[in-house]
Amino acid sequence: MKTDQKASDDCVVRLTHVVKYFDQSRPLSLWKREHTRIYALNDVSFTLRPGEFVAYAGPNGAGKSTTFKLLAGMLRAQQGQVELFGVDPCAARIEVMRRTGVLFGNRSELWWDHPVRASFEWKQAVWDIPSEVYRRNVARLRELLDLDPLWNTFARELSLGQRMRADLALALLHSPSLVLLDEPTLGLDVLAKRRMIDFLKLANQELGVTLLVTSHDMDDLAEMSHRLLLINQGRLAFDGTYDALLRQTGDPRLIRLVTASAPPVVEGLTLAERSGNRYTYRYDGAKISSPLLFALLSGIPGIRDIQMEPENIETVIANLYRQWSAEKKDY
Amino acid sequence: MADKLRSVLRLQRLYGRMDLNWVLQDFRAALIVMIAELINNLTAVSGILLLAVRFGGAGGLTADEVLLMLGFFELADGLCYMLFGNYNVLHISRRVGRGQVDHMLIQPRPLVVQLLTEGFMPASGSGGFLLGLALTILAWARLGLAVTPLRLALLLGYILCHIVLTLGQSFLFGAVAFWSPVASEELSTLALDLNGQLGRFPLFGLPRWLLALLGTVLPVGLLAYLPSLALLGRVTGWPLALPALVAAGFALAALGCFRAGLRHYLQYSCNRYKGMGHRS
Repeated sequence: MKTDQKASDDCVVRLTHVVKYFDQSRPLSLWKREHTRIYALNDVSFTLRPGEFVAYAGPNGAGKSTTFKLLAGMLRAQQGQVELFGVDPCAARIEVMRRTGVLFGNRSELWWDHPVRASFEWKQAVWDIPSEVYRRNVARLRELLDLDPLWNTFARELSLGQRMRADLALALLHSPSLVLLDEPTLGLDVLAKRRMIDFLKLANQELGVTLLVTSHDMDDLAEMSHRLLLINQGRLAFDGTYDALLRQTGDPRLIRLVTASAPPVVEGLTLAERSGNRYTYRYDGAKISSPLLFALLSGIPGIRDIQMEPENIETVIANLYRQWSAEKKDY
Repeated sequence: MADKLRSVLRLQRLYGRMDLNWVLQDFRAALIVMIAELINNLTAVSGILLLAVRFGGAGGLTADEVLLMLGFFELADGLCYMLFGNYNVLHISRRVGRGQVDHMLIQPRPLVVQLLTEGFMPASGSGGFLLGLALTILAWARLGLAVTPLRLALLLGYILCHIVLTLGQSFLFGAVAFWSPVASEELSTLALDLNGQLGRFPLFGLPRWLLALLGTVLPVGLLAYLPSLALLGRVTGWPLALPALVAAGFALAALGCFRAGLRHYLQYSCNRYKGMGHRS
């Protein structure tokens, strides 16, 4: 399954100073209305290069879905430029959609009252996929996503995990260069999520597909993607790697102690959790180095075990969201 | 243009095959739907027909002429349903109001090609058409109407006008759902129901102003009444072209409103999504 090589010359996605707002009219009384302008995206710029696997995250209402709709040609920006493969997805919708796969986790492209295979045959006809490419891709996707047991099952009889697998395969059937995935792991159990993540990594590494993924599960995103775009109140708040994010937030770390006595008090360590004689502390790895920490702890009697690990990315980002919410940045 | 036509025919074959597969693979459900559809059509026809038989005619038409009018309505409406009835193409306000236009925007096909093909249901949706064909042939024979090229051309032309009028009204009213998706989700259905309820009635004897209204703004008189009078040779001159003129007007208005609605959709999208009725 080879992807379109034309995209490799330049950026696959380019957003340049994009502004998207919605005007709302709220009734205050029978006669009075309040008109407000909500900025879903405010001067957002970023690019995606071929073969990148990028996570797009942010709190609810941050502008993630709006961005995806702009990229999929379902919305038009008021200002700025949205380009996929160098063209405006609204103006050149047909050309762009031949090279793009779209999957929204809460909606399905499968034909409900038909077996799964019928949706693939339908896509072959609508996307004009040559028979040879179709046969090759179907064989590969059936194997990778374990679709054989579902192939002749009515779409309406699939479980959520099965449906998502079939939908993902359908999104990749025409060998797209770019795949937009909005909440692909939504509602999946641990096993189904695992399979989905493994497949997406494979699609990116082996097939060279450029992926842009949203999810509220930051651990999933951190495992899948190489780069993170964080959006907050319509503005791009961070663009970089997870390591860079951790450095920017002060390298938050955890240390777990098992002691025979009361929880030790150490300067720079904040007790976050306790369970019997097990204590979890937070500290800033940028301020306290590991040797210094060991030196501090070695002077405390009764410590039986020490475990150190970086703070969970989910917690780091949750703290960021909380911080943003408290600051109530008014752009 | 030729490419577009080829693509329409190819996709129509695809959707026709999908419909046939559905009937064969889900036979019990399909059979129930088809029987229900047939009963619905028979019920719609039988009320007026029984009145005409009991009283020796209705609305200035004999019982056989009423049969011709009902047969024509079922024939044209059945064909419209067969071509566009599936997956809410005909009830377009449902697709728009449920936020399902997104499914169409991600397909690499012009929207018009999608709308011309996705609703095709030759296997499960042909009941009304076949019933209409049988009734028309029966009425034609009982009335002893000669099969002339002019009459056949009128028949085909008026069937086309009926389909354009029906689609035009559905899309014209359905376009409102772009602006108010929840409140207008069923507007196309209401427009189609109005046609179904009033379009089968002979209108003879109504006041002139009402006839003018029912022949233009609310064109239910052009769906079957005027065409059947024309087939019987009772209409001559410019009124013969009235269905075509009004159908063209509705088609243009629907096109304009639907395009404006799509522009609105690209600005504001739809604030709701319901999966039922399109893919499902």
